[in-house]
Amino acid sequence: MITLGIDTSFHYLTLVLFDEEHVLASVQKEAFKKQSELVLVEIEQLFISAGLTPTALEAIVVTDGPGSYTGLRIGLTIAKVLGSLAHIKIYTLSSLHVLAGIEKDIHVLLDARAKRAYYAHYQQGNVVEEEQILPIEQLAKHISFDDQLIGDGALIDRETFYPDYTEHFIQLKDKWILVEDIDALVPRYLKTNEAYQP
Amino acid sequence: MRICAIETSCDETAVAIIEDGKTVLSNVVSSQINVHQAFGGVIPEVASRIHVENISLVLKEALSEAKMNLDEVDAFAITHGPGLVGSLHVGLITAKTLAWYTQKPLIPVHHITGHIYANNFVSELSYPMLALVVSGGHTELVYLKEEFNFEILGSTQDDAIGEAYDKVARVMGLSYPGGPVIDRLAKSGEAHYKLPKIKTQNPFDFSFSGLKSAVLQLVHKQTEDLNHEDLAYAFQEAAVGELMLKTRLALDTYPVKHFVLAGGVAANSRLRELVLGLNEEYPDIQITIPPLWCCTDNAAMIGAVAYIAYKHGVQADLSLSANPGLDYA
Ligand SMILES: [Zn+2]
Repeated sequence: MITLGIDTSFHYLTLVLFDEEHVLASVQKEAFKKQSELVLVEIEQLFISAGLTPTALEAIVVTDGPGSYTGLRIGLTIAKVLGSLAHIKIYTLSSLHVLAGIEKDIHVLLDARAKRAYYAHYQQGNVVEEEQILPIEQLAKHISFDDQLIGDGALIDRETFYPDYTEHFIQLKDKWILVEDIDALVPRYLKTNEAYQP
Repeated sequence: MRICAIETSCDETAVAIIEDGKTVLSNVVSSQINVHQAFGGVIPEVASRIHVENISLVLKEALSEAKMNLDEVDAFAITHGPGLVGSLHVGLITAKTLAWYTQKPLIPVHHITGHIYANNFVSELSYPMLALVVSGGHTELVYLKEEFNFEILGSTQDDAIGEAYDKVARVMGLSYPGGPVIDRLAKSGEAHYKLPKIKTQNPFDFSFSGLKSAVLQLVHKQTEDLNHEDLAYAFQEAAVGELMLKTRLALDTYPVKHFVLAGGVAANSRLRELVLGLNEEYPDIQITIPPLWCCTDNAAMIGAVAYIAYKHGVQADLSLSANPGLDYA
């Protein structure tokens, strides 16, 4: 199954074209606020370098949130358009989960602005603490100094670190959620759900 | 040539299939007006969200109404400005995705040129042509020496006419959008209130903020109840009068063969009446007003102008980006 992984939820534009277990082509680049301009150019490039035509595409796995509202809409719109008109299967994956991959024990922290951050905790690809939005102050206490951390660590005086996560899309295959009603697919904005009480 | 046109620059999610710039095979518009009415205006973030919710449904409906498959589309047209950046993005990504997937041309369109070429659905256009563009974001006189050649003779120095209608409606405690409400009230109004004359530096420019302030003053000063009908009448006559004054001046100055009205405010009944009335004064000039269905934002008009644009060699690659402040002349 020729599958395209798409993540436009945060700073990166990350695209992975793969076939069952093998990555055919991928790109992960810093593209904050440039994703809309670059995304189709990069997708086209991926297919060319893999020697595939666009119609070879059979499935898309896209991160549906949380993250930048504008960013999320980019990946989700591509998925909705192709899922509804080209009969391509659409799967979603959490944008925090894809960063974590199948790391043994990992905390993910991403800037949500207004002194808040998106946070989740995973072990070997499984959810330990659900993704949520929390005040940075609270997270600074919650995450201990020995905890392995991915993302905007600088927010809590740790190192900011992003892994190469292109392979994670394949590694987390059993976490993909098949989208049954493609028209109803929308980003999980998270903030509006009031996932946290101050 | 069958063009699938997509328009999401403001609060309408719209897709149309147009054949050779003239024949409407389908024209689907999903309006968010009810949502934004509750806020008294368009909330950009809300508009972007609703575009994402609607886009796949609107696309599918446009194709099925035209009885077409995706691979029967010859090109994709997209409004890439001006408009709300978040809203523009949703349509832009949609069009780029489809152009890439089908390997068909992508035609970028300026929203206002769509409004102008909506008149192509009514009659064959001839040049030189003058267009009076009136909407919530634009008020300008555009001169087209030849096909797809735009020169702005004058534009508003402050509020766009549609904006002025909205602001006056708010001052009078009327609902949003202001245009239709004021137009309706004015019909039963009489000349009673006096509003000031408008002055601009460039004779072809417009200005509406003075009118708006004058209405505001009247509302604040008035001790007894204001007559809403008469006030709506006074404002409408002054605003539309300003449009007609500058239009006449342009028609007298430039060699115009065809005059067209364009934009959302082209639905205003008084303006339509006065524009059609120009026929007597200028018997040698062809006069066209867009059909009511084509005054509000839609994708049919984007498909109409895209066909012309494509003939003139306009095409974009997949790096096309949204341009909220896009110019066309
Ligand atoms: Zn418009």
